[in-house]
Amino acid sequence: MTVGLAITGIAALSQAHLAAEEPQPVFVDRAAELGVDFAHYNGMIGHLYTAEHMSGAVALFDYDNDGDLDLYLGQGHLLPPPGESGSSSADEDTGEPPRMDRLFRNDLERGALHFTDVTEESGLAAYGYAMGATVGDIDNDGDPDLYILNFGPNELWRNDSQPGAPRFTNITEGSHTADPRWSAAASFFDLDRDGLLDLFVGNYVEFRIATHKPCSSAQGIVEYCGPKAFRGEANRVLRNRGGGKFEDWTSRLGIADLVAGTLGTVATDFNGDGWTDIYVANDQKPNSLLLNDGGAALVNDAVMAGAAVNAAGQPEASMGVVAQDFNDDGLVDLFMTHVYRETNTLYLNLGDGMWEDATRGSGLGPPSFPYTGFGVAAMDYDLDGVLDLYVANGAVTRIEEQMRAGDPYPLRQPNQLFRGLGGGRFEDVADFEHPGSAEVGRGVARGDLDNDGDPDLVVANNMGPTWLLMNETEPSSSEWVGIDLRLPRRDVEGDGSQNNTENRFGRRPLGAWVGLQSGDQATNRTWRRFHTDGSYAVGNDPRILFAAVRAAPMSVVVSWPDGVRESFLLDRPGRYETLIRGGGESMGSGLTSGP
Amino acid sequence: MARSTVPRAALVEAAVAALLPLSSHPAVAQDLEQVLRPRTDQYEQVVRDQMASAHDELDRLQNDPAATPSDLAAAFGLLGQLYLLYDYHEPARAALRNAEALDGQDLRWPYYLADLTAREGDPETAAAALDRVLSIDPGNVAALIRRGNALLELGRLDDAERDYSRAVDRDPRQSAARLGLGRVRYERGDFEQAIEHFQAAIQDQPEGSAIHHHIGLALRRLGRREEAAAHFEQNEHRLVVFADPLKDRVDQLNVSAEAHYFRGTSALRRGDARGALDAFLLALEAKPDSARNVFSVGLAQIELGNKQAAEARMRQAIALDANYREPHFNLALILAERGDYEAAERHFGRAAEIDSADFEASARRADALTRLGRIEEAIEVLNQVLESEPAMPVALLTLGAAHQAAGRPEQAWGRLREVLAAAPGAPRERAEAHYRLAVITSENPELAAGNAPASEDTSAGEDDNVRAHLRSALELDPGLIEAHALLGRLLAQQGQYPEAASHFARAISRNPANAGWHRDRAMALILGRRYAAARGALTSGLGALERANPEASEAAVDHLRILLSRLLSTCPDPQIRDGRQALGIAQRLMADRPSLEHAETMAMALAETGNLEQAADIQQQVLAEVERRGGTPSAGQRQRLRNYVDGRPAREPWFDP
Repeated sequence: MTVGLAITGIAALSQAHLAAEEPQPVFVDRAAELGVDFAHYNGMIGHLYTAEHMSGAVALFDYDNDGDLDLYLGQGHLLPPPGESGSSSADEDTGEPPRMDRLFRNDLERGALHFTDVTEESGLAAYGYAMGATVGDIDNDGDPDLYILNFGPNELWRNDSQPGAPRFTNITEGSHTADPRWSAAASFFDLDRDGLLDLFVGNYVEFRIATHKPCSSAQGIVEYCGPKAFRGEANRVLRNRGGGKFEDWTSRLGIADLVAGTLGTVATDFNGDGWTDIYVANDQKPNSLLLNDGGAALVNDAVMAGAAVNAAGQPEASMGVVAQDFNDDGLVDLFMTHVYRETNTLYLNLGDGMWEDATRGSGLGPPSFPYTGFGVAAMDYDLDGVLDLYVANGAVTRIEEQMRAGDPYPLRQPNQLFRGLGGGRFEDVADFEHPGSAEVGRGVARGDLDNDGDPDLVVANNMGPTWLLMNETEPSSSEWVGIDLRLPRRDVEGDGSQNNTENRFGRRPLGAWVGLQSGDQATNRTWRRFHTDGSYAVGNDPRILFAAVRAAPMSVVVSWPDGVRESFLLDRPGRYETLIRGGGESMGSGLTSGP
Repeated sequence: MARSTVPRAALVEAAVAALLPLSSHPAVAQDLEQVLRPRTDQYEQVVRDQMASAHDELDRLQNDPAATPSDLAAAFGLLGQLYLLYDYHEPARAALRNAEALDGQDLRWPYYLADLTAREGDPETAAAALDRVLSIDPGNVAALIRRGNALLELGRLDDAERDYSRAVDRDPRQSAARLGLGRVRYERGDFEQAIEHFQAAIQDQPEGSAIHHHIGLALRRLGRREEAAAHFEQNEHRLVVFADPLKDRVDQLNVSAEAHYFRGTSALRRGDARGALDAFLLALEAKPDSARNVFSVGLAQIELGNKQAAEARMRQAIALDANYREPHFNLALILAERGDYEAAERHFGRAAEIDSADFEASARRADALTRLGRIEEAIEVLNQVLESEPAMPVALLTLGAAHQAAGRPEQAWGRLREVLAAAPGAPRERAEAHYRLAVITSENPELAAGNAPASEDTSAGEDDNVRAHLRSALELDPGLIEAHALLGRLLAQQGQYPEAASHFARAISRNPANAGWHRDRAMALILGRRYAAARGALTSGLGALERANPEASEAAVDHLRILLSRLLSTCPDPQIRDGRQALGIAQRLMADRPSLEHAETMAMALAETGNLEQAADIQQQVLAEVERRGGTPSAGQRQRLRNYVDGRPAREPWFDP
């Protein structure tokens, strides 16, 4: 008996030890309990259309300006058989109600984190085949408007919401923003510094259902086609004329021949001249760095800048892209997700307009090799003051092992979390998420859904459930500060709309940089980009979170998109602060390569 | 950390299977890994047969007590190669491990395992496998390069450098190893030396254009930005390759139609149309009912200039799949090129019908309609296209051409200027727009002067503007023969004969069947006093017409013969003159089609051969006949008569320049 007891005791101890060692997931999917019951539908009917596996649109934006993030989710619909034109829905043939995009209101500020479907009452009747979304305030009325990127004509929805009354108006036709091509990424930015947000639309390839022909693998198995099977589509720059109208400036800016299969875009001032530039991630073609020449031209400098191709001189599959300062040297770096058998790639900024592929030795290369990355979020999930990366993976050709197991959609791959170690180095983190099962990951939007000071994620799984990955880290209220930026209310664009006159602020200055003092020296700062664009197919929370902050007062410098800098002193950590241009102490201008 | 993508149930199945002893074969001392068989029902039949045969052979050997471990290793190895080739990593890995366990002296198996793991992004395991390869064959250059690459990836610069150096010692012109040495130097910050290695690499393998990227990076680090930019521009993303016989052996095992198709498309991409055709024919043989394979054969035939065969293939592809846009479009291009615009219009229309967003097919259909004189229909089509694609160069161009054909030069002018403004990336369309603007300018000088954009020199003469447009056209598209011909005529009118002749020559090189251009070229050469070249041009022109355009009009051919005969009779350079040949040509002309022009040519030849009396008699008759028809003989004709009467052959110009 004694022996038996002893053994039992050892076993119990071992169990306790194991339980203590078992890693707790960092992210837990709470979509269902939070009211987001959304499954993406890609409308596949067995013809392996390239477009069907690429969609996964999400936008996190505070449409009602109540201080918490609301949620837009893009939907697909049944695709017609080959030979039929367009991407129009055939859902009516099934007898089911047509599928549409959905809008969820976050009720956090009403008492508890929960999402309520307000699609119907908001008027957001978006039935296109959604591929992506981006967010920006096109009329300077202080609330974010929504641009939906479709496989088919895009849609611009003006946010006319009033407190407690969500309202979106489709102004696509009048605004001339209905690019009919397959669009996958877009960035709002003020091209010509006229105070209005213009729009860069990244278009992908000339895939059409009418002309669909299956591709084949090396074994002769019918397979999804890659980008090389199609001609690329041209990108487009739509200049905001005001009054809810845009005009096509693509040719005028000299980029009509920029035809490269774009899947990702980020806008910021890459060369520090006070004009917002665009970085364009292209699938299997060299990427573009479009430097803004005073609002009169966009000049592609990617090749010379060393940001067009990887270290081997090869273009890669560039899907998702983020621009941040990954090694905390005050310069803007780039990270891109790529296809299976390519590494994801980190381009570090060397200064003087030069970037270099620094993937080798970063810890990001080999772990990404077996997977196809799409959406990516750069955020500090563990609140240690260093940027981490979350990558949503999902194959683009069917995985034989999953086919053999009878999976009807054999493109599933696990997502990855890379913990930042500082200096542009990362480590692959295991078992970081629940449910942990593999889906076909596409869009990843980053945002603090519960305003608790740590970043949460929304993952749009193609033909799968949307995940609301709540960050289970519990930040101390003294360890973080959140920054929101606004222009003064005077910049409001008169478009005839009488909405939102109650807003206290003007629009958000997308592309700005915020630097928080991170050491004893005032010049020692951690810089973060203020943006909604980037990742793949999503609109992000523009607010910036700084973790591991020093005790108050905290010194913050804002570099506005035109290069003008202001400093602010924040006296309380543990909350979001809204910094308004003109409200700080002027520091003049003079930038170098980003912040 | 690599995570499996296999569903749990499949993983369990695989794990259990791997524990089972594979065989009780007397030659096998240890348990081998189970090689899982992937589903093959979706493979091409040829691939299924190939894999089944490899499995059968393995089964047979396992049941053959006489089989040696080496035999079994070879059978596992073949299976491993096939799975590696067809991209099934787990069965490939198991089969290759078994092969290596059975025959540790065969370097192929660890070599292929290294290839497999390198593809999976695992340089550490790859390097370890290559250690085993190099322990068997220390001088294997491909293995040294591969291990160098793996070690470089792992940041083990000294070890990588050692392998690359050993590879270079064995093969001093080994570009891949040179590139590796350069990359090691670059990583150490020794950019000057890195450049030296890169330069050596590109020298021995200029087609490995990606080396330019590495040179550019190093130059950029040295602050030599302009030089760097020049190298970056030369990077066409082609990687450096090295002889890799073991890898080639695996690739050659691929028997799928798809593999042949890929080989064909790769060949097409590198400009090897003959190789592409061969590969596409093999693909077609493997899959004869594939419309795509038929179409691809046609495409290669187009590249080879065999339009007739290509046309047949396009029709065959359409018969197999009537909704296949590409053969309709390409067939239409062939038909349009040979002037069958009616049929071309139908097929462009069908392509546009299949894909309503295929605006290029619509625009080209409109072009065919224009050429058929159905201009208003064409304009309607183009306006529809431009509604969706307002800046589409080919649509704007075709609309300009339609207005031009309809006699509305002002509208044509506007649209063509839009092409130039809207299409920086469409050189051919811009070239043709320039050409058409040149034509319109020459025909409507007042229109051009009134509409010249600010950037254009309005004080420039009409000819200068025409010439500027033509030169711009040819800069953008040196193959635009109409522009060469028009520029040639313009230059000849301005007395710039050598340059004019050179433009006619370029036009002829693209279309030797145009008799007018042969004539114009010869005239420019004669007027430029390059008589020998003129004689050559006329002789070769007649030959070319005979070959390329046997149906060229008699008048056009006669005109060249007249020029040749007269040049041989009257050329100031005695080296060129050949009265007997001139007379032969003239006599044939007179016999076939008697005319005043031929008679006068005969008179010149007779005079040159010393028959001055006869020449004078014929010239007299020519003058009389001109007068009888109510005309007035030219000064030249009268002068020639006086020459003959005075006993001198004609030497004066026999035409008005």
